Amino acid sequence: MKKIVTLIASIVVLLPFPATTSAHRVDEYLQATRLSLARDRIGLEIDLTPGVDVAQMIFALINTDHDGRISQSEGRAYANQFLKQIVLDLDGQRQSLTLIRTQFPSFEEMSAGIGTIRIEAVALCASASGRHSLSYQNNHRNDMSAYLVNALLPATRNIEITEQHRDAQQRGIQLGFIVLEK
Amino acid sequence: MKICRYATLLALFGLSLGASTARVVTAQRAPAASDATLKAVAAAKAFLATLDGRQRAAVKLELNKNTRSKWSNLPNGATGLGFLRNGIKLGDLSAAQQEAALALVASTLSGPGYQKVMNIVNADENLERSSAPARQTGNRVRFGRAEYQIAILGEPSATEPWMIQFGGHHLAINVTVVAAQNVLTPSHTGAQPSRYSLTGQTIRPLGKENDKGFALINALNAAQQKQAILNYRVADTVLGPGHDGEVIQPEGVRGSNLTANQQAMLLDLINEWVSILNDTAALAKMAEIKSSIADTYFAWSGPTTNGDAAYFRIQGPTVEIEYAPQGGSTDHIHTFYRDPTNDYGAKFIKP
Repeated sequence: MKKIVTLIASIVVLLPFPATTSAHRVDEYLQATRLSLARDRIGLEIDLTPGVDVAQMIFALINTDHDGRISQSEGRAYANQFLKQIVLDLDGQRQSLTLIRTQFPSFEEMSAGIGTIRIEAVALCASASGRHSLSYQNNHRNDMSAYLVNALLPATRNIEITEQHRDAQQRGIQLGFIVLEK
Repeated sequence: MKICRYATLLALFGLSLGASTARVVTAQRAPAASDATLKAVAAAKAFLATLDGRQRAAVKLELNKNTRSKWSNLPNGATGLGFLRNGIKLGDLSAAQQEAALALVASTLSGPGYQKVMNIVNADENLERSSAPARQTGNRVRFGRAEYQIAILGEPSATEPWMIQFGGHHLAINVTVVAAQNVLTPSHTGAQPSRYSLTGQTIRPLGKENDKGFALINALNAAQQKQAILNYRVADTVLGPGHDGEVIQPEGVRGSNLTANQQAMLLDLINEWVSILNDTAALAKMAEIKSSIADTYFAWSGPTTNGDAAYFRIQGPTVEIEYAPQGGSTDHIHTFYRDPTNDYGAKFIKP
């Protein structure tokens, strides 16, 4: 399993995230998650965009050596810290998340409220044929954040999302889905 | 009067019987889109002919995955931090060159569509005039007409794929031209301010989108509203720039659960985005969307009284639209229009 994760990480880390820009935010930390379901994994793509008023504080949290730029190790440390505050359960079983790749904006971009941190992670977990339930909860910086969470349409017809429920702030989502026989 | 209005809409989108369906049927049959393409090719060549070598090099770029996806909702200066739009700014062109540039934009759009685009540009000019005096030294963000950029990706051609991009703050017009086909997805419209005065007239660049959205949610009965209204806050758009190829699980009330009149209202709302493009291409697109209206969802988040800030999303097999007031303000709107099957003309361009 560890080999597979390493392989995925080594392949994917070379691929850049698509160019993206976000809305101009002010006093909220927008955390947008997209979940993708497959037979053997659950993918997470997360965009984190601090608004102007909170950007310096978030930047300072990440830039731990205070040199004004986010190094690769600082970025990975923050992303792993973020992932520890994500609760992902498949059929009631907690799933461990593996960081795949990260992308961090410059201080200037974050200060302007337009810098988006991008984190991609995966939970390797097999879903046998039949009904399943998935629960996602984001507990990161809930003192200042606005949330979005969505499930992407499965890439395969063998997986069908049957229901989705969110809390009022979209910090969490519960999905019901069916895996059909191949 | 209301019945009359919706009967007209039903007729426009071919939902009634009789001769009123002719407009859509004609659009489906007609190869007349090639006229629009020829018009765009001629306008592109005329614009390029006004440019010197340096300007032409800035405007005319290769069409590929990287160039076509370079668009944004953000103003220049902000985007300049880590992102630069394709093309050349209107402000770097002479008056005659600007005229040719805007003639190219107009050549691909409908009359009302071009007017909507210019209403968005003028809103941004209004924003520049109101915000410039208070701008701090070192702030590189600039709004206004001069900041809008135009680019031509690929070689203007009546047979081969190429693309026109016209964008700036709150605007990304991406028209892909593939022989007779003209495609407007993905595109972005927005407004700040959402209401302003110009030569004594009140302009609301996205007023119809707003008003038709509220009209539709209020036309639903309680059971339909229960399906349509999401029980959670939607703080922003989901499928903006950088999210090419993503399709989310649909939500809201399904078109099959709407009456014919409500379906017509939904189509009329969708048409606010589709009909930015020239009439021939827009009518063909509307016919396509109409054919799957039963599988098209309408979702709403927020209050249902017009004048309040509410988010809505329309999602069907060949259409995705989001309308999102920013930060809870009705004076700052972002919208995105996509086709999950045909962004950048994917259906017509062989990989």
